[in-house]
Amino acid sequence: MTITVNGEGRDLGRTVSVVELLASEKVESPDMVAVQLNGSILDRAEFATTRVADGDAVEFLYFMGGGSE
Amino acid sequence: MTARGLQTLAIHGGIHPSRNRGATTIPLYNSSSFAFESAEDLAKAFEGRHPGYIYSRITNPTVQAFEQRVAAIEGGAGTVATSSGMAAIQSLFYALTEAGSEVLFSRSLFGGTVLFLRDIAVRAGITVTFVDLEDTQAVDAALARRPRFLFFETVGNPKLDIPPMKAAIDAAASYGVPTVVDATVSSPALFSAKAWGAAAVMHSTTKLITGSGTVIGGVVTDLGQFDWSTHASSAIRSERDRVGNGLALVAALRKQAGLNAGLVMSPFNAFVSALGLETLPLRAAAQGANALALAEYLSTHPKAASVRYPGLAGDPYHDRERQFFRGSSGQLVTFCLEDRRQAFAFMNALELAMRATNLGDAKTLVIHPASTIFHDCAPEERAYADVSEGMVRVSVGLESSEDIIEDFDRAFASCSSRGEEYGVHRRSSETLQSTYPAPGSGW
Repeated sequence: MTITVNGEGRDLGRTVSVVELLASEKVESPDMVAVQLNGSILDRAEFATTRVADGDAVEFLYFMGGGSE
Repeated sequence: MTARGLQTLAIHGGIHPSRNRGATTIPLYNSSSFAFESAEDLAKAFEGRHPGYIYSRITNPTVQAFEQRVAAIEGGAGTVATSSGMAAIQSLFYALTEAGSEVLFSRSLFGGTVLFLRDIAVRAGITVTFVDLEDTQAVDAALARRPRFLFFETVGNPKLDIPPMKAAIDAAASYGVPTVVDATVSSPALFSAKAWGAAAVMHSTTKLITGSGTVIGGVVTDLGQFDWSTHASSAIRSERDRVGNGLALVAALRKQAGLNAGLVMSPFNAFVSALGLETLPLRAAAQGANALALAEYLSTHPKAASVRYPGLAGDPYHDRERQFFRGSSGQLVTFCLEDRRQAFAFMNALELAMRATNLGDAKTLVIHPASTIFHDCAPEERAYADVSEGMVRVSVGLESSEDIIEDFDRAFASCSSRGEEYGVHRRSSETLQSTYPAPGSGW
C-alpha cells in the first residue's frame, strides 16, 4: 500500500489508523498537529478510527504547539 | 494513561528526557533560530508541513515545554506564552477582533487592563463595553450583540469581588460568545476555568505561577471546549479552516500574537516560570492559609477597617469562594486606614513586608493602590474598584504567618506611638457618587 505524507511517498505493509501513522512518523507532539486526509481536515476525535487507504494523501500540519500532550 | 493529579502535572508536564539527553528538567535553549538539514525542509517548515523549531519569535523548545506544562495543568488543548500578562490580554485582541469589533469586559478590572482598554484598544477602533456581571439583564443585552469575547477576572484586583462566573460563562455560551477568564490572582492551582466552561484562561505568570518575583510573563490557554464555527474573527476563521476547530484559537494566537506581533516569552523567563510551576499547588495552598490568618488578625484589629478577604466567613464573597475555588481564592487581602497619609505611615513602618507592586510573590508585599496601580485611572474608575486613599493591598507571602502578623502588629503600634490617628474608615465606593460608565455603556 502506498500513500503520501506531506508530499513524500510511503510504502506501508498494511492499512493503519491516523494515530498509528503519527506514531510511525515519529511525530513528537501529536496533540499539536492537524491532519488533512485528501484535502479535508480530520476531527481529532476521528484520529483513532480513521484508516488510511492505498493512494491517500496525508498532510501533517505543524504549528509549534504548547499542547498538553 | 491514568489522569494525573495537579501536583504531578505541575512537576512532570513538558519534561521529555528522551528528547533532551536524559535531562530531568526542562532545558534552557537560548537560541534565536534553529537549523534544518536542507533548504527543502526549511521551506516546508515555513508551510507548516515539516516539524521543527524555526525561530524563537514563533516558539522555542523551552517556551514550548513551559506551555505544555501550563496546558497540562489547565486541561487545555494548547497554551501560548507571552512576554507579560498585559501581552496575553493584547494577544486576545489580535486573535479575536478587528477594527469595529465589540468586546465585553467586566467592570471590575485590574488598573493595567483598564488603561490598555482605554488608551490602546479603543484607539484601535474596538468598542469596549463594560458590564456589571451581577446585572443579568445588562449582561444578556450586551451578549445579544455577539461581542467577540467576554472577559472577567476570577477575583477582582484589588476589589476582591468574585463574579457569578458560572452564570456569566453559561450566558455567553448561549449566545455563542467565548469567555476568557483572567485567573491571575487565583492561579490554576486554585481555579479550574475548564471545569466552569470557559473558552480560554489567561494568567500573568509573573505572579503566583512563577512565585519568586523574578521574571515577567503571561499565558493564554485554549481550553478546547468552544465551538468557533460561527465566530466572526478573520484570524480564527483562517486557522479553523487550516487546523480545525479544536486548535483554532491556539493557532491564531501563535500566528498573530507571536509570529506577527512578537509578543513572545523569552526562553529564560519560560525556564524560570516552569520551575515555579513545580511548587505552585503547594505555595498557593500555603499562601492562602497565611492570607486567612492575616485577614483574621486584621479583622479584629481596631485600627484596620473594611478588611476584605473572601476566605473570611463574613466576607460578602465567601460563598462564591467556597463554590468556585480549591481551598482559597488566593493571597490578596485589603484593608483601609483613614487616608493616604496613614496608609503610607503604616506601610513605611513595616519591616518584613516589602513595599512593591506585584502579587503572588513568596515575599509578603504591600502596596497603596490609589497612588500606584490605579494612579492613572479616573476617580470614578478607582471608586468602582473600591480603591480609596486609605486602602492598603497585601499580597501575603510564604513567610511564617506569626512573623507576618507580628510585623503588622508592630507597624500599627509604631504608628500609634508616633501620634498617627485612626478614625472612621470608608471605602471610596461608600463615599463617592460613581460617574463610571453605566453598565452596558462603552468607550
